[in-house]
Parts: sequence; structure tokens; C-alpha cells
Amino acid sequence: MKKIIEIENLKLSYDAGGALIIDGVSFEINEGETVSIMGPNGAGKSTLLLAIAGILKNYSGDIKISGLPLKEFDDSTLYKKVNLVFQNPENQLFCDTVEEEILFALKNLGVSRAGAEEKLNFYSVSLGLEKFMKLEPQHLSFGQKKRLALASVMVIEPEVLMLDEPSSNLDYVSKLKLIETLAGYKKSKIIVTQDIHFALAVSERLIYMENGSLTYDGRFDQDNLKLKCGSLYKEINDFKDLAAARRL
Amino acid sequence: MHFKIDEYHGADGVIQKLNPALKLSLIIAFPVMASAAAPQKPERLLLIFFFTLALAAVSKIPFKAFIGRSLPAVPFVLYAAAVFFYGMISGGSLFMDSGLRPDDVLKDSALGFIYIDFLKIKTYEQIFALALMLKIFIGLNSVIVFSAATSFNDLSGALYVFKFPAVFVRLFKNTWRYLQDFINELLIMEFSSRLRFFKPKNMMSIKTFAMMFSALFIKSFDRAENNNLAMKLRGGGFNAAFKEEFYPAPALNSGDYKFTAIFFAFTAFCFYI
Repeated sequence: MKKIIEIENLKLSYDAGGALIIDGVSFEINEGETVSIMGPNGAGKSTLLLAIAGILKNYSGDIKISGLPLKEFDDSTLYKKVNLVFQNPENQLFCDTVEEEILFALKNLGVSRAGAEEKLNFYSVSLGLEKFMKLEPQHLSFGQKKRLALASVMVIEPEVLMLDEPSSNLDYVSKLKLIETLAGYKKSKIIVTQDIHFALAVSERLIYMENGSLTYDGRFDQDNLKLKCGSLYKEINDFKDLAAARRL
Repeated sequence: MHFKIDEYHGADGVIQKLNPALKLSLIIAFPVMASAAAPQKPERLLLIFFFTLALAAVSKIPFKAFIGRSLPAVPFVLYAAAVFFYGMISGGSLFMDSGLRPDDVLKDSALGFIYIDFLKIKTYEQIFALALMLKIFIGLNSVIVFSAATSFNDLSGALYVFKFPAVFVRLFKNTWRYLQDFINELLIMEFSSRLRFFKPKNMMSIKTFAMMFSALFIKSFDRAENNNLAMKLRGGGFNAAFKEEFYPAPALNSGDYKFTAIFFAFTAFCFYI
């Protein structure tokens, strides 16, 4: 299968000579594959996404997109290949209306009005935003803002869609809708999440990070997790025990 | 917690259906018309006053929305009212010299005679004060009717119809939204600090203000950085060229022409009598 992302011995720190946020991470992602990245807070998951999106440039090691080094891409070509949905939608939304927010990237890409409207309709319905098109994004609820931020990036249809905590603050129905939408998006996806159930529903592969290092890369297999990713396995079982103890 | 001065009342009213560009023109034209009506002819002002009341009624905007938005004008109205009633009771004058004599006023104003006879007004300053109150009310009421019956995006989008440069319109919209966000954040911060038992002796003290404003500037800088990043990821950014709007402003329809005709006919009538 063709590799869309190749990362080799990636190291990154925010300050020159400072502590490494990402320490020697290597992995590959195939075309059409969906990967969940999990790990405790401060493990370097979101930083990894920023590096792949070409926003953090002060790294050592290699990041290749479709076989070409990341640093050879200009911004507009790169962002059609790889794009990112932020954890906090407030940071991603800046237009006057929901409709304009979704159309923003399409206008910049020079998509025709008919083509843009087709995508607008598709993604607004997929993400349950069709009723809010003329509203100002700031008047939406947090969960609706999250869905809008996702729609605003999904319309670009990048080769690799990266999502930082997409399921946080979403209710059950919105989460199901999101899982359905992501399942319908047949290109590669990298999803940073803390939600094991969501990760299981949307991805077939798990990458686990701790203290900037990759400690597990494989399938969601109980035995495999127990053997190779003790901390996540313990985390899952601790919650099970806790839930049992509290009769949840 | 929202700053609601530009809140849109999207009821199914006549004013809501008018073209945003027409409403934008009327926001300016109406107060100008009211200002042009001379105080010697308060009957003109009264006619315009009743016309604005009719507009408010057909816009179906809730009464409390008018009250809420009228608050900034209260000091001016109170001032005019004080002038009016002070003169009425004492016969004294708060105006120095307006250059007009009582006879000039009385001679030109049929309504002035009625008022003077009925309320025993002794001096012409009271006519001015009454006119001032009416003008403030008409100006404010007309601005509220046309602005509250139009969404801010439609109203600011109408600036394109008058060929305002895209950069100016964008700057205007963003400045307004920035102000809104700034005030909202300030309200949230004030509320959250109260929730955590922050009780300064004086909320308006320089120290409290400095603390809140510095926190707000840091937050807004951070937000701006992230927004710029989000724009770049979607092919935009602060340095990118402005793209043509997908949805140009709508053209005038028959309802707009009818309303314009009524407005001009009414204006002509007011200034004829």
C-alpha cells in the first residue's frame, strides 16, 4: 500500500537546547488508513500534529508527505495534502456566518460557486449544521462550533485529515454523527483523542505516546495492548475496576 | 453572556423584508430628515414621530428591545426634558440666546399656539426643548428600527452596494466583532472572578481594570495568532488577497420601491405643510 506519511526519528523542542517535546518518533501512515494517537496529557500528541502540518519547523529527523520531504512543500500545496482541525474551535473560527466559515477555504482555492455550494450542502448536512448557516459562529454551542471547525477543514478534502480531540465536549448523538462522517471520509486520518471508545469506533490502528516517545504502534488487540502498551491497558482496566466499584 | 447592541430581531415584519442597502440609507436619511425639520414647526416633527412609531409597529420588534437600546440616549432626553419642564414651571430660561424671538416661533407654528395655550408655556426655549426631545427620539427610534430589523452581516454587506472597498468593509466588520468579543470576554472575566470570590473594594479601580485589560490583551493576542494560523491552513491569512464574495448583495425588489415611494411622499408632505 502507498505510504502517505513517513516520519523518521522526529525530535522537537520549543526552545533551542530545551527539553524534547517529541523524542525520536518514527512511524508511517498508508493511504486511506485511520490512526488514533493516544497518550497522557503533555505526551506530545498535539505537537506532533503541528509538526506534520508544517507549522512547527524547528524539528530534526524526517517528515515525508507522499514521498517528498515536508520542507519542500509550499504552504498551499501542503495544506491541500495535510490539514488540521484544532482542539479548541474558538481558535479556528473567524468568519461572520457559518456558511462563510465553510466556504472560506473553497473561495481561497478558487472553487466555482456551484462546486462550493455542492460541498457546502454535503458537509453541512453530514455534520448537522444546515439549520445554522446564517448564524454567527460565536452564537453556536461549543459542540456545534467543533462540528463547524471540522466542516470548514473537511471541505478542502485533504489527503490526510488530522483532528485534535474531535470528540471532546460532544454529546452522544453528535459523537455518533461524527463517527459516521469520518467513516465516510475515505482518505487518511490521524486522530488525537483521549476517548478509547471513539478511537475504537473510528480507527483500526493505535499509536500510543508517553513523554514524547512512541510506546505502542499496532492494532487494538487486548493481548497485544497488554503485552506492548501496559500503561494504556492499565488505564482501561483501572477505569473498568473503578466503574465496577462504583457500580456504574 | 452576550453583548446585544446589534441583536437582530428576525420577526416576519415589513422592515425585515426590505433590502439591506435601502435600510442602510434610511438609517442616515431618517435622522437627517428629523434634524432638518425646524423647531418652529413642531407639527412636522410630530408627524415624523408618529411615522417612526408606525415603522416600529410594523417591524414587530419587541418593545423591551427599544428600551434596552435607548438607554444610551437617556441623559440627552433627560436634559431636554429638564429644559422643557424648568421653563414651563418657572418661566425661566436655560438657553442663553438662540437668536430667535418668541414671536418668530409663535408666528410660524400652529401647534406652538396650541401648546402654549394649553400648557401655559411662556418662553420659546420650551419649544426648542420639545423639538430636541422629539428629534432625539425620532433619530434613535429610526436607527433602532432599521438596524434591529437587519442582521449585522447584511447591513455591513450592504456597504459593498455603495462601492466601499472590501478592505474597509472587512476592517469595519472585524472591528465591530472585536469590540463585541472584547466586551463579552470582559463580562465573562468579571463573572468568573466573582464566582471565585474576587471582591475588590472598587470594581472600577485602576488596579482591577489593569488586571482585566492585560489578561484580555494576552488572550486576544493568543486568539489572533491561532486565527491567523487557521486562516493560513485554509489558504487565507492576513496577507492574502480578499476574495470575491460568493453571494453578492441582493437587488431591490418591488417592496423596496414601494417603501421608497412612501418615504419620499411622506417627506414631501411633511415639508409642504
